[in-house]
Amino acid sequence: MNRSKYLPLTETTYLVLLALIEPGHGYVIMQKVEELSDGNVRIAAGTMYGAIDNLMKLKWIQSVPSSDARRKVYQITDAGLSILREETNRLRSMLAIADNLNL
Amino acid sequence: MSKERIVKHKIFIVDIEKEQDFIDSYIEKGYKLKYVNNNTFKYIFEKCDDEFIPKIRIDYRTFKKKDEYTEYISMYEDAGWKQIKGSKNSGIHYFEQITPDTTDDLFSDKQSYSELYKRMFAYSISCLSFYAIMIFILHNQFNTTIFTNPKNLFFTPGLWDATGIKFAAGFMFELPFVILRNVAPFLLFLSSILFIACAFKCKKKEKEYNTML
Repeated sequence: MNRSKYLPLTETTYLVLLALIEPGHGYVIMQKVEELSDGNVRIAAGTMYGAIDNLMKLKWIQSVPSSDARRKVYQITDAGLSILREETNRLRSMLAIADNLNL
Repeated sequence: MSKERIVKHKIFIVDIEKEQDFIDSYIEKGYKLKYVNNNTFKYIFEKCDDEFIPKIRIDYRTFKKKDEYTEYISMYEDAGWKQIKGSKNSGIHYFEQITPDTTDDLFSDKQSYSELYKRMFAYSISCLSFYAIMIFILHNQFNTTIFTNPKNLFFTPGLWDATGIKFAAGFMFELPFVILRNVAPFLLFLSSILFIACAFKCKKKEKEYNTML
């Protein structure tokens, strides 16, 4: 099986993609990631801006129309969803290895 | 009563973390950064009795479109960072924490730091290319001996055959005159060296962070 050259994803990328299953602007994504991770992961502003920039270039997310001129709203694309599923499967098989070893 | 002020001049080349540490050291002693100018390398700190003295963090980015820049500033503000110095094309941006809840840093992973130095490297290279083009265009207008054969800039007879103290004395004596005769090429030469040094340092920092990934 040929795995995407983009895997594994960084923690930041993975969580941002998860957060963008529902549309949101930069700060909303930051809050969502904090909430999804039970406050364990706080993405800082510069990292968030860079992550959006990278994900837009990869076309894993897209901007969707919004009423706020100062804040762009983003959402995951089909390509983004498929990479997210691929990464989730990879993580599952990693966990399975650990479980098999009774870790 | 006016508050106690400290004025400092300090040059930081490329090293953003060192500059942040420098500003932090005054914040720890109870001073707030009041003014910064990265072109004159000037910092003014003022004694501050507030319980919360905002930290200063530095980012490097340029923007092609106005709305990209607006979005950038809005996102940082939403996340608790107020811009205190910088503009669309300034490259360097200084941000101040709005509340104590704001994250301690602008970046929360190593990749972001690696990308930061990558952007600065690209900037150094673009400056260097600009100077290279200038030199190419101007090479008929003025003396480019400094790049092709710097020894010929010195007129002292037999200087390059002399050794030891005689050479050192002759060289140091004539050097100011050489510089005065060739101000423009010298400035161009110095800037080129500076940008090469910057580019190397950026690349080094980028690699340092990449190995931590």
